[in-house]
Amino acid sequence: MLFLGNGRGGAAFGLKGPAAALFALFLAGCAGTPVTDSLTGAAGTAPDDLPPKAELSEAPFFPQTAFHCGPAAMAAALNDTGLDTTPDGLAEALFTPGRQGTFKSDVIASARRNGRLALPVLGMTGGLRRVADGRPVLILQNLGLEMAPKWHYALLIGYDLEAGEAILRSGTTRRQTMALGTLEHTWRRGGFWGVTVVPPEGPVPTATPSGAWMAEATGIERAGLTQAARTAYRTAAETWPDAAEPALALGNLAYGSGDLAAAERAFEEAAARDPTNDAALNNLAYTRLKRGDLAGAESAVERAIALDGPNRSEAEATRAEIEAAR
Amino acid sequence: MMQIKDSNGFRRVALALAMVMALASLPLGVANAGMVTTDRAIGQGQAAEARETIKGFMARDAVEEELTALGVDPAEAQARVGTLSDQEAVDLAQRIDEMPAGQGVGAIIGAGVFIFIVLLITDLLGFTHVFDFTDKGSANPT
Repeated sequence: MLFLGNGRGGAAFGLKGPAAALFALFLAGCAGTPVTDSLTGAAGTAPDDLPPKAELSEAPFFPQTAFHCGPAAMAAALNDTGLDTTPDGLAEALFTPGRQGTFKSDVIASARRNGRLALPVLGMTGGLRRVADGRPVLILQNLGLEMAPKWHYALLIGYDLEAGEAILRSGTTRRQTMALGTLEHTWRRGGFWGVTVVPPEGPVPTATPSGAWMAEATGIERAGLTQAARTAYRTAAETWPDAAEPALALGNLAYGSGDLAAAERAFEEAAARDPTNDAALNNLAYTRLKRGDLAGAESAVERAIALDGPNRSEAEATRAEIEAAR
Repeated sequence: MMQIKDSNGFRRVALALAMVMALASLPLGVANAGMVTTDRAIGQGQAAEARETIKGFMARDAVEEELTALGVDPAEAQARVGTLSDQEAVDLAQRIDEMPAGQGVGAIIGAGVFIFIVLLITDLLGFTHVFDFTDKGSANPT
């Protein structure tokens, strides 16, 4: 090994004069590692619900070829959800030749196009929690500095708070250990951007907001994968029994496929789950109108209008159509 | 063949066409004008007004164009953009120029000796992770 030392203090390198000044400059440019400090107990505030260590040793790995860390990391994340795919098979969807790399938006799009949800993580602790929960996290790191960036996707698959280490599937290294502080620095420069790729049937990661799940589920629907989208909406309906949106989304799917009876049932359920959801009531009214149930349509639309909610103008338009049908 | 002389007139036709296409590609669940879309119900779409729908459409178009300019096959660019909500498309259109693209191993940093030394030192300090040879015990199976 060329360089020895603990790699933490500048004094260990015996820097002097201009080198020391230069060094001070980097320090100024590099924030501390508050998350790592709190997790490893330096600040004594590690959350109780985070296990001291976790490693998803079965997490898949594909060594990357030049510029293709995006396809490699994504192939591993998708295979983790039971989808049989390879980096080469994903390159077309993920690689952008003019930038010789992979955009974050395309990572999300490729998950949706494969019938999977790309759920964002919140911060480094949130990322570790997902790992403890059983799913790897695809993260965007800037391994270099802002002035000389080296953007890189890797799969966070484990950590050990006591050893102060993170474990990654990264580049050409199947099991890369990295100091938690270095992970924090490099991931912070990537905006702590990370996603967990999850199949539509779940399980839903702990503490996932229903809105995040629904946003990805609609992305799957937009990609044209209706069956996977339906599964994702059903998973949401089971996970958040008080949320109207999953039932409403199922109703819209049924309506779109021409199954008005199923649509009506779904909108009824949505309105029962949340009687203040004027979208559910409006769609219920409209579906009843199309089924020829004018009285039922009218009672639903009056409730929708009375709520004076965000979809009031749609509800009024629906009422006008009901009146016209009389 | 019709010759296009009046570029203003051409633009007007193009805009009208764009609006027709925008309405034809209305977001999720709009099977009918009277229904509230899933996108709108979950706060992802602002598609209540046609104006906003067109904004989303234009944003998709801009991103698609940008991706194609960056060497992505046009059909592929369309498929990528097609999964985005109006809101996501608008956000992306605003910042695709400055968006990072992850490259990973093999990425060459257009940098001189100074940057090289800077990164070497920051690597050793654990601020960065550019060079594999600065790893201390990494990649060792345990």
